[in-house]
Amino acid sequence: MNLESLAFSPPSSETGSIGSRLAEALPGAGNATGDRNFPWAAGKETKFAQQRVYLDSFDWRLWRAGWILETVQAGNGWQWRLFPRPGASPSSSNGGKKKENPYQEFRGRLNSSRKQYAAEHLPDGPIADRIRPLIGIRALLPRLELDIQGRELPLVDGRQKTVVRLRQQRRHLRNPLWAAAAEQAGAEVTLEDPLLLKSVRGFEKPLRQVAAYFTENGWQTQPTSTLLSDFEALELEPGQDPARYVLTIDPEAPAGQVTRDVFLTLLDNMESCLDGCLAGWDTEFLHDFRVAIRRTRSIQGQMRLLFQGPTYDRFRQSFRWLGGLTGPTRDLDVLHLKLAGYQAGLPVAVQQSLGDLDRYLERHEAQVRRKMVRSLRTQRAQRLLLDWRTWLLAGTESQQTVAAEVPVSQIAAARIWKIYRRVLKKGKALTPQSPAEGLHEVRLDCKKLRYLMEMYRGAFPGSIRRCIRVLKGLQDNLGDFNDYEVHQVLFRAEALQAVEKKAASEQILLAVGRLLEVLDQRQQGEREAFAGRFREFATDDHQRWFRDLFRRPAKQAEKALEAAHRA
Amino acid sequence: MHSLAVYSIKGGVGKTATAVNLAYVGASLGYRVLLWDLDPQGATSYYLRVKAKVKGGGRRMLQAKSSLDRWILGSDFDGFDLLPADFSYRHLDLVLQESKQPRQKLAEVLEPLTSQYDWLLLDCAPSISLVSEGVFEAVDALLVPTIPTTLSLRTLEQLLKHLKDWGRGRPQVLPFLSMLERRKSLHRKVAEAVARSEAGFLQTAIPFSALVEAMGKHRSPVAAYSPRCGPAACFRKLWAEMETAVTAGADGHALQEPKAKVIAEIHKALQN
Ligand SMILES: Nc1ncnc2c1ncn2[C@@H]1O[C@H](COP(=O)(O)OP(=O)(O)OP(=O)(O)O)[C@@H](O)[C@H]1O
Ligand SMILES: [Mg+2]
Repeated sequence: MNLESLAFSPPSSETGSIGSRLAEALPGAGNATGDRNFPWAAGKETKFAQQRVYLDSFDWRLWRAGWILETVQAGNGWQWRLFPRPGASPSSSNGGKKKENPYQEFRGRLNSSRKQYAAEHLPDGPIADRIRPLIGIRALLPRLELDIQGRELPLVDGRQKTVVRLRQQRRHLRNPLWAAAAEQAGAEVTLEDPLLLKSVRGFEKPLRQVAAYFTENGWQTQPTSTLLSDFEALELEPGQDPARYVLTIDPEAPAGQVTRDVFLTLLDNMESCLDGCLAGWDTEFLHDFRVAIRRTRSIQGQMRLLFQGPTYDRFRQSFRWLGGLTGPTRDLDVLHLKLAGYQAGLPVAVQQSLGDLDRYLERHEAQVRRKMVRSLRTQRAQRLLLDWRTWLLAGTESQQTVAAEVPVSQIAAARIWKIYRRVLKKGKALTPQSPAEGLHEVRLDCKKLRYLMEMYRGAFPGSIRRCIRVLKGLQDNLGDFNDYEVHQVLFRAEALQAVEKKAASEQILLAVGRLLEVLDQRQQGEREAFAGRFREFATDDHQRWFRDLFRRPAKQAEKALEAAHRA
Repeated sequence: MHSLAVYSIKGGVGKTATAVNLAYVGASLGYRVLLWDLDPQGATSYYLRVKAKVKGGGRRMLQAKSSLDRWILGSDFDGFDLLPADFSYRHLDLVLQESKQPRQKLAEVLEPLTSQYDWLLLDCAPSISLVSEGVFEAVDALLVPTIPTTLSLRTLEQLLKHLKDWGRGRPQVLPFLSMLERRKSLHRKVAEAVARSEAGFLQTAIPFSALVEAMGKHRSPVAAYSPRCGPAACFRKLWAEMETAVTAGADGHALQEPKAKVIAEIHKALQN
C-alpha cells in the first residue's frame, strides 16, 4: 500500500465542499463523537491553487537521462525541482565528486519564470550543474502545464493536531507547444481527481484507519494520477525523439508503399520542427528540419525509379526550393556556434577582434532568420507540406512504376549496392594529388548511401548497424574536410560584408586571415587523413559485411525488374 | 541539504519563535523542511501540537544504529516536518559524552536525512555545551537572534571568540536583531551601530510584537494565523536573506561575517 496518498471515489459524485460530501456519504464521519471507528473531527476546510510546469528539451534529453524538471509556483514566486524519473536512475550526478544517494531531489528558488530556458538562463547551482551538460545547445521548453485547484480538509485528533488531509481537486493539463499551434485538438484536458487521502508523516496509522473506514462504507479505491498518466492524457510520448525514429519495415512489402512511409516519417519530422524553427526556440529545430528535407530529397532521387509523372518531379523541385530557403540561416547559426571553438588556438589580440565578427554574425543571423520565417509562412511553403502529404497518402497507382511492386529489401539493396560500389571505385582512384572535386564526389555519394541505409534500416538484418558505423568513420573525415572549406568561404564573405557595412574595422580582415589559415591547415589535415580512413572503410572484412547484406537482394531486384519489363 | 541552527548563548531571545516561523516560510516556498527541537523544554514541539512518540527518545535516537527517520512527525503544514523533543533531552550531553566522537555524533546521525530534506533547522537550548559543540560541527550556519542591547552584543562577542579557532567546518555566523523595539533609545542605537556592514548582521530585524507572543495561544506559526501581518513579512524577508547567505556560503562566496573585534568596539562605544 502506497502510504503517501490514496485515492477514493465516493458513491455519490456530488460536488461542493469536502465536508458536506463526507457528511452526506458517511454520516458518522467528521464528528469526533459520532463513530468509534472514526475518532477524528473535521478541521477547517481551505481552498488552494497551484501551477506547475514540466520542462524538457524538444528531444526529451532530461527525460531520457532519467530526470524530471518542474517549476512550481510557491509563495509569491517560482521554485524549480529536479528529481529522478520514477523507475530511472539518472546517470550523471555531480561528476563523481562524492557518492550520492540513489534518490536525490534538488529544489531551488527561481527568480524569474520564463517561457523557455537556454543553458545560460539557468541560475547557477546544483540543478544547473546537472542539466547543463545534458541539454547542451537545446532549449528547455514547457512540455506540460498543470493548473491544480481544489479544497483541502484536515482531519484532526483530540489535540487538534492534523493526522490526515483530504483533498479534492481539479487539474487542468495543457500541452503548451501544441496549444501554440492553435488548431491542434487535444492540447488541453481537464481532469476531476478522485478524493485524495494524504498522509502526515508519522501518522500512517490514522491514514490506514480512514482508508479502511471508507472501504467498509462502499467507497472505491482509485489509482492516483502520475506524471506519465498526465502525459498520456495529452497523448504525449515523453522520451520519443522524433528525429531518431526508426521505421519498422516488412522486408517483403512493396518498395513503393514503404517508400511513401519513409517520406511520411520524414514529413512528420519536418512538421514537428516547424514551430520551433519559426519561433527560434533553439538552433536545433532548424537543423533537424533541414536534415529531414535533405533526407527527403536524397531518397526522392534514389527512388526515382519507383515513381512516374510530372507531379513527382515538381515535388523534387519544390523541396529543393524549401531546402534553399533555410540554408543561409543555418550557415550563420553554424558559424556562430563554431567561431568560439575555432578562436581557441589563436592569439588573444586576434580573438578580440574576432569578437566584432561574432556580434555581426549574430545581427546578420537575426536578419536572415526574419526573411526565412516570412518565406516559411508563405502559402507556397505551407501548401507544399500539405500537398506532399496528400499525394503520399493517396498512393495513386498510375503514378507508380512496376518497380514499386518489387519487395523493398531488394530495391533498397540494389540502390545501396550500386552506390557502395561507386564509392569504392572512386575512393580507390583518389591520390593525395587528385583535385578536391574527387573528394567531394565521394562525400556526396557517402551521404546518399548513409541516408538509404538509415531510412531503410528496418528492411535489413541488425548487422546493417555495423555497416553504418564503418561508413560513419569515413564520413566524419569527409564531412570535416567539407566543413573547413565551406566555413572558410563563409567567414571570408561575412568579414567583407561586416567591413563594408561598417560593423567592423578593416583590422578584422587580418584576424579573419589568421582564422582562415587555421581552417585551411585543418582542411589539409583531413585531406591527408583520407587515405587512411578510406583504407579502414574498405578492408576485406568490411567489404564482406556489405557484400553479405546487399549483393544477393540487389541481384534479385535486377532479375525482378527485367521480368517485369518483359511482361 | 542546507543546515542551520538557531542558536544563542543567551536564553529568551526569540530562538524558538524564529525557528518555527522560518521553517514555516521555507515550507511555504516549496522546500522540504525538517525542524529538530533540541531543547528539552520542547517549546517548538508544543507550538506545533506534536508530542514525542516515545519517552526517553533522546538517548535512543542517538544510540540506535538505524536512523532518525522513525522519530519524525509531520506538522500541520505541507513540507514541514518535526523531530520533537522530550524531557530526556536534558541528558543529551551525557549521551554524547558516552559516544566515541561526541562532536561528530550529531552530524553523523543527520547524514541519512540529507536526501529527504532541503533544509534542516535546529532549535537549540541556550548555553555552550557538548550538544552545542555537536551542533556547530553539524550545521552550515548559525542564525543568532540578538536583542538590541549591550548585554546581547556581549554574548555574541563571546560566541564569536569561542568559534574563532574552530577550524575546518566552522559554521557561518549570521546574527540578526530580534525583538526590536524602536521606541527604546538603546534599541535604536544598537540597530544603527550594527547596520554598518562590517558588523556582519543580516539586514532584516524581527520587531517585538504581540502577534509573535500570541504563538503560544494559537499554537502555530504567526503567518498561519495572520499571514499579512508585519512580523510574518519580516520572517519571509529573513528567510530570503538567510537563504542567499547560506547558498552563497555553500558555493564558497560567504558574505561578510561578523568579527568579535568589531562587535566589541560597537559594544564599547555604546557603553560610553
Ligand atoms: N518578536 C517577538 N515579539 C514579542 N515577543 C516575542 C518575540 N519573539 C519571541 N517572543 C516571546 O518571547 C519569549 C521567548 O521567546 P522564544 O521562546 O522564542 O525564545 P528562545 O530564545 O527560544 O528562548 P529559550 O532560550 O528559553 O529557548 C516567548 O514568550 C515568546 O513568545
Ligand atoms: Mg527556545
